[in-house]
Amino acid sequence: MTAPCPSLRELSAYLDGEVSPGVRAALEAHLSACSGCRTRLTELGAVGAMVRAHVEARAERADLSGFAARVLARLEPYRPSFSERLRVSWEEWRTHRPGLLVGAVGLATAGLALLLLVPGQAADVSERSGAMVRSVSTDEQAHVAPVVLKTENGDAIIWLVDHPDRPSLSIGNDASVPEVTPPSQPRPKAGEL
Amino acid sequence: MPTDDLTLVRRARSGDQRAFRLLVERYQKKVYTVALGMVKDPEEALDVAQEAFVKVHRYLGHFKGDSSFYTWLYRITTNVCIDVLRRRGGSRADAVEYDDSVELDLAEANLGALSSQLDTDPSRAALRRELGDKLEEALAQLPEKHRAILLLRELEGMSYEDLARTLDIPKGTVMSRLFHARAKVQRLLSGYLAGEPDPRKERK
Repeated sequence: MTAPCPSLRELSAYLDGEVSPGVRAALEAHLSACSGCRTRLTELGAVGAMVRAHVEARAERADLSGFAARVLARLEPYRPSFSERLRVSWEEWRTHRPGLLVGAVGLATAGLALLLLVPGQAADVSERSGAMVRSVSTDEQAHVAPVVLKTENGDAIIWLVDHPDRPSLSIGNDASVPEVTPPSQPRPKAGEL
Repeated sequence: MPTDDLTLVRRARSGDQRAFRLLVERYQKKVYTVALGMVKDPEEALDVAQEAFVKVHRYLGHFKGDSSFYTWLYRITTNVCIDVLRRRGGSRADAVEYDDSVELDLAEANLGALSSQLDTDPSRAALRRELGDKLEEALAQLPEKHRAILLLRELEGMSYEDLARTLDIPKGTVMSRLFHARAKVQRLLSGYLAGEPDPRKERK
């Protein structure tokens, strides 16, 4: 006696590879004997194939150049929590230690500033920190150490860079001045925050 | 090796826009394709895709790392699409909830008509365009949630597990909606293939 034909629901799940091995074996035994169910299965598969071919072909015509830039232009300023920034910075620093991070200090606003200065982002720095940064440089051998300042509003972390005599990388307006901290900006003390 | 999604999400959460840009570039085509399938109009699909990424950025802080980024991204994309369709009006999302106890079957009369179309000579592009129009009509007749699940399955090849997570429904519902969607599209299309022979042939 032949097993009854499977439901469409079962065939659909079989098509997606989402049935148990036992059910699959039973379905395959049935399919090998029932041409009607084989046609139903093929037909279900054809729906999917058509949808895919049709929508993907239409999507190919789209011009997505500049898409990411338009998205970025629409972003609201994202303010991650301080602990989030601290956590991420710490992880990043552990991963990419040398040469990449330079401490940048500029606590002009009441908010807590954590600036990670990466080459290529130098242009943003003075604007974000509110400090007049004339030049920023780093050295591959620089010793980088985080210093946590306890304040009434929370904690601030400042990346301090021990700067040796020989800078190997300079970024900023005046590359000839190998200064890490802004010359006009005294290093903040906890009491000033 | 490309940086994995979760690392980029972590960086984006710390305010790193370049990391977010990489995520956008990685998924823009996929998100746009799903949006196009949902809302049909290319311009609107671009808007939807943009809006989805803007929302993703806005809610980065809510993303729990316990699910993959892409299921979360598609959840947001689907929701933005459904919002757009509802604003557009004529939504059938809730009106046409099916009765799961009813076994739907394929259109038996013209069974096999669809699969035979897949072997069609590519030179018959006109017929295919017409078929494409009919396919759009059929998709438009699906309740939005059924359309979403069919598209995510067929375009992204998502597993039932991921579909369930993305759409926040049980796996059994994923299974039901998928076969309802497929059966309905098959019935609509084979009706077209059976009932409307190519008019250009008729004229000869």
